[in-house]
Amino acid sequence: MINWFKILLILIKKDLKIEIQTKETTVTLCLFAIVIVTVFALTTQNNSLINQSFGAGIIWSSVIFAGSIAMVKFFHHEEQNKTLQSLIVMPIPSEIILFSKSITFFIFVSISEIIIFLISSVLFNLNIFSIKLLIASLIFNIGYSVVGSFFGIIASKSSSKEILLTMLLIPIIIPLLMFIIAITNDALTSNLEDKFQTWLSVGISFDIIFITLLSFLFGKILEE
Amino acid sequence: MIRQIYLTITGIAFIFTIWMIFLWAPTEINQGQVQRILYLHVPFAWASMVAIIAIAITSILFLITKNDKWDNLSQSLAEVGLVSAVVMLFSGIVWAKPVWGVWWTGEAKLTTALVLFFIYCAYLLFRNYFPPGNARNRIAPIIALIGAIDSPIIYYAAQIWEQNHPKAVVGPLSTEESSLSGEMVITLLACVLTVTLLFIGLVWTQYQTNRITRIKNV
Repeated sequence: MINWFKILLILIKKDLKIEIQTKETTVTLCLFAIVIVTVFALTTQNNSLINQSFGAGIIWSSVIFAGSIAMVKFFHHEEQNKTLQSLIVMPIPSEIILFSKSITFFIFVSISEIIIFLISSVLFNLNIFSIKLLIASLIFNIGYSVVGSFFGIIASKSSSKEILLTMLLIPIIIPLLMFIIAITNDALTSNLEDKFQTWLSVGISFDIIFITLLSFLFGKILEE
Repeated sequence: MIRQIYLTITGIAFIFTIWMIFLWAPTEINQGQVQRILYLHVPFAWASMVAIIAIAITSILFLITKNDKWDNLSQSLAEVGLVSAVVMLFSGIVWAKPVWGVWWTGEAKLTTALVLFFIYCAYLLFRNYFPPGNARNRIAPIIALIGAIDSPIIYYAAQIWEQNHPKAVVGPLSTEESSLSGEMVITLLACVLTVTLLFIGLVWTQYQTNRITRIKNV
């Protein structure tokens, strides 16, 4: 078990080191998300009622689309440098590869979300900071990173990786998207007590089901 | 030869069902003629839901046995399932406007149906975009399986989101007493049976076409 965590940490460190040197994934993620949020801010009236109704959708759509683009970039490098192939031939449990990529991506998405939240609250005059939303965002990021990494690795082998990843990822994470948008909407209207626990159970169940399922299936997609 | 006879029987059943829909079943008092769309909408919804369950089963069978026929059957089911989903969505939209006053709502069954359509698209896109070979044959059933497992979660999440769709009044999942007249129920069940026959026939035909394409490619 100690070895398992050691290997996981080494793999995460490796990915983070590469990212610190190149800064490609984080910069792509943040810039693309900021551009989407800015376009929405410019094209909608700065009306607090409109912003409260559409704010959640705008914020999370930008996270998802920017995340997909960053994922393609992230896994394209893996494919180009044949790092994934090298990891597959190593005598390590296959799920470690999935978890290491997921944790790395979780860090990237979390950083970008902080920036998107800050910019959105300024551009749309929204007050979205609450502990409950923070917990919900963490649950969302876990599910999004695991499912995204799984499909990112699959799509990286295809020539049309951008469209393939988006088409595979978005329909599957719809329950997670509903969960986070519902909670953000409630946070914006300061009505967070209503269905918070029900939605939390949806988010946590999604994460548990998909982490278990995908860690089991991941070995099968890597079989040669 | 058997397939030709089967398709002929399905064709006759289809003509008979059309007669039932337009000439035999009475017009619903509240919704009027537009209610007849449901005789098409419900069976195709049923076919698209059954298809995703069947795809999950055939995908598991392929992963266990590695027999190519299960993978071929999954692909054929997905292709026909996609067509069923399109008919279901289109007929649902056309029905919703005069009855609900809107083309679309974010209701549970509608959202699940739309996402189901995207899952079919994703599965078939993957089969087209991914380089052919062992890896594609191995990953495609995994994607289908994930899509099938995700469908009830989507339905559950969407149910919390909003509720507007009429409850099921016919069949094992019915939760409310039916207000449909006897002729309407018989017509609806006949339509479900005919569309099921059509669905099996189309999957069968598609299976043969895909089998020939695969042999050609080898």
